[in-house]
Amino acid sequence: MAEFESACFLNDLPGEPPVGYSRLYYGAEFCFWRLPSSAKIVAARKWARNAGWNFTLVTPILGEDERLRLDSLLQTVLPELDAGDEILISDWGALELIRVFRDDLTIVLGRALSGQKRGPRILDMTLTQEQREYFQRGSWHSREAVGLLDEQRITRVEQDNLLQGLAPLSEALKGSLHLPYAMVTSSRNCPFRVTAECAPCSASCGEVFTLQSSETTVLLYQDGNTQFLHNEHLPDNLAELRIDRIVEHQLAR
Amino acid sequence: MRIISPVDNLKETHLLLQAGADELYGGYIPIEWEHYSLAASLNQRTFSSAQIASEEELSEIISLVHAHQGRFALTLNAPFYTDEQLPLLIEYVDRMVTLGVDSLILADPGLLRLLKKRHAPLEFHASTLAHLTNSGAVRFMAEQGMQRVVLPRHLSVADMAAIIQQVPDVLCDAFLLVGKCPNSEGLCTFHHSSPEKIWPCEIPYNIAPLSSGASPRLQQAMQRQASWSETNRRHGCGLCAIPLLKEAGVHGLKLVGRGAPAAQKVRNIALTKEFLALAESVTDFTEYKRLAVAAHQERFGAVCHQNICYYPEFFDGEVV
Repeated sequence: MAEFESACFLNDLPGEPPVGYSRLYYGAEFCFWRLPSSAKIVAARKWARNAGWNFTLVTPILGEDERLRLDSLLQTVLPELDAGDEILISDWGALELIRVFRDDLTIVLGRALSGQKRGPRILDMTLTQEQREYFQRGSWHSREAVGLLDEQRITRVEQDNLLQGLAPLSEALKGSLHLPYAMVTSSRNCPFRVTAECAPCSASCGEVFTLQSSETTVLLYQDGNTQFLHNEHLPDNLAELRIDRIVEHQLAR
Repeated sequence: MRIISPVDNLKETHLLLQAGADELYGGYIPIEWEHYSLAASLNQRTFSSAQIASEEELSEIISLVHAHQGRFALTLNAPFYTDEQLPLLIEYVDRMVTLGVDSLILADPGLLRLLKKRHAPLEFHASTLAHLTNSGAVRFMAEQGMQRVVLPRHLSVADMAAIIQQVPDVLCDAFLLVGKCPNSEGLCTFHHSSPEKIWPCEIPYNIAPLSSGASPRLQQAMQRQASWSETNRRHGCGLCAIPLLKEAGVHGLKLVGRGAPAAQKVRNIALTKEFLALAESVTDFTEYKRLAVAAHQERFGAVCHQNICYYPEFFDGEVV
């Protein structure tokens, strides 16, 4: 019997919900221009409800112009959500936008804010025990950082599946683990982007290229403005790590 | 606008101040950090040339800066520290305060909470590692105690102006010259540990489509990505944008280059000072820009390129 909730991050919703999942992650983490329209988000919420799934709306990293656009979108979308729905934030700037409309919604802290060190060079380094333990942690492992989350009424943090392993979260938190693609780096300087900085992106996102070098066997995948690595190895001590949800991703195409 | 320069040793301090730096920033790794060493650096630099060698030297640097009516900021900008590390850092910062450090550059909100309670008079800067790219995020961190923000790379001048307008009580600094990265530093989780200082974004990768039948758009994106391995990131510029950054209300121009030779730092300060003066005296922006483009070529021995232009909305050359 699974000891964790299985969630699925989908960009395109199939007619029939895939088997084995009970939560939909829908939206965008790293690029605002990948965030679907308010109409599509409301439809996705309905799709999840019809499937008997829970729903997590995923909001992305924001520039100033994008913060204003998200504000406008949330005014349409937030009234459609139930108190049981979640909103994942990838940017602290989204917090006030949500709380001003819906103080009752559960806010989840996205992996863009996890501070984890994901780069594959760590595997080639000779580390002491102290160093290894450091690199298995992230921004939300210290008591003071957990205190900040507690003040903000945030109890769930999203984590990437580090090649070097993970340290347990605080007892005050629960974690979601994203598989099999871990974010390594991201940028507003997107190689796919051709329009001026503040204008909406017209690039037809979805194609992926790979980056391979002789210094590591770990392949990088460039999907939009973000590079990922692949790590499908599921830790065998999820309960100890305080991870009770697995979020499965596909590359865009 | 204030000129903010890195400093790595006492010998270069006087030169940097004489050249026109108003503020200096730098890092120092104390002996109690030896368990973690430079591999898990407390200030994002994994090579010793980017660290001030001793507490005594740091003390002398701070005294010299203060004698020139300048300010010194200490970098403590790892994205996070652990419960085991934080007590070490508290003792460390206590000592640094007695040496006269004026401000701390931080990224970890947990460390900020601890230090804000303990050393309220210090000025707390959000490092670019904190990745505050909009006014809501800046406001959130200001509520936690940050008074000043290093705005991340890849924000346009218009973005910066909009943020500054929304949060006028927070001082904002913008990057200029050297060290332009393809990635957003606060989102980049690569380990920067190569002895040759070749970072993962500079590696000449073999780049290929994941699936067959790459579209023209994908081919162009791969070409753009590949261009970074042919780019000298140390030629980062942004001189053209100085008048607009000033108009936007940017408080300081933050020069990059911890660990670089003193002569390079001095040249960068002098160039910035020269173009701050030109931004006042040359009212025709076209002429100002012509001077800036020429100065870039003279300083770096290479023409402008979109990759190393900090504010590419002002780049007029051929776009790859």
